[in-house]
Amino acid sequence: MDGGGEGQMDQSTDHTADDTGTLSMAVHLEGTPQGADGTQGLLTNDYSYVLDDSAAGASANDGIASGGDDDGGHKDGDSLREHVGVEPLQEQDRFLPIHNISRIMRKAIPKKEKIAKDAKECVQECVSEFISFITSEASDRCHQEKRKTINGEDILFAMSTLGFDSYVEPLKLYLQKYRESMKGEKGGMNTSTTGAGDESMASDLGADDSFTANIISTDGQTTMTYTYPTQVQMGQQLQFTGMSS
Amino acid sequence: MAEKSATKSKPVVLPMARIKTIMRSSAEITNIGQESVYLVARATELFIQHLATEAFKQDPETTDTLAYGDLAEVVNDADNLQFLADVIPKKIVVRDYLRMVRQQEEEKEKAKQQSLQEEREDTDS
Repeated sequence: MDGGGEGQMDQSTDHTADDTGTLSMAVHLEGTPQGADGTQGLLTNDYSYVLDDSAAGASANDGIASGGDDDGGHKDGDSLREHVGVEPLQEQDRFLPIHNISRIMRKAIPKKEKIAKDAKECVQECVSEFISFITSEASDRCHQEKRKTINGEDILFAMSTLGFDSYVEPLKLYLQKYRESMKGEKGGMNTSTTGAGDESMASDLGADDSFTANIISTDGQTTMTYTYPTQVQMGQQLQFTGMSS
Repeated sequence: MAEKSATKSKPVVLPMARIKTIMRSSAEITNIGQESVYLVARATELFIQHLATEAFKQDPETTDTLAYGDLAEVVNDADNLQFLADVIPKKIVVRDYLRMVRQQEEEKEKAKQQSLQEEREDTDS
């Protein structure tokens, strides 16, 4: 054993010296978290850590642990929840394309700022985790209400519940535009706004629901009634009547 | 599929099909409405922008690169990002880790010695 840490390590360690003579040490502990770049995590009493294998920190004496193969990403994920009865996804399906993510990131920060590769991969994992998180919350609500389909309102509710209520307003605007553009596809569009008191079309209005959407189909006509609580900016009840051509 | 939009909205830059796949694997749900996939796509965009902006604020002015550590800081500080705590644990170098382990072992030793000593005193008295 040359160089590397002093003192005894209780855990099992693998020592390999690569061609350049740098000591690589992989420290294996049970139940450790996986870092974004695939390195094994370490547990001490209060914190969980991931060994830093960045070039800046590496030197022969530090004995930086490297996480094994570095093929540009992600090991088979433990980080993404696996639900009972659902098959784990292939690696490429579990994440959104890193190029798209990196584009969105770059637009949000000044042009000359660079983004480290492990940061991009990290965001990639976070994004998948975020999607899962929101979806399972929305799905729980769906189940509670004995519905089988997740709709837009479920997502918005989940956002609000999970601490992302700052997203809700912009998302509502996006949703409105999306619905309008969908209507546009179906041909002529009539929109009428009625007073807040008109509830003739709405069947169940959940007492504590933030949003209620009822779709009533009669004879080829689809009427959608959206009711928003008055504290929201759009305090009106909007009625869209789409005529099928 | 061309959308005739009465009002203009930016095209979605994230692949809806992939998002739907991830959603499907996240929960036991029968159906996912098209609207909800769209909303999740938009929300994800906002989320990425949010992460990037916050991480940029963490980035010291000496470096011009957004790094893993910046993201770890962001996740640490924000309440609504605690679900990411396991996805982005903080990184330390082995040297510091070993030092921490040694410290903890020393403390354990001390505590053991102390309790042994107290036992001896008890038996003596």
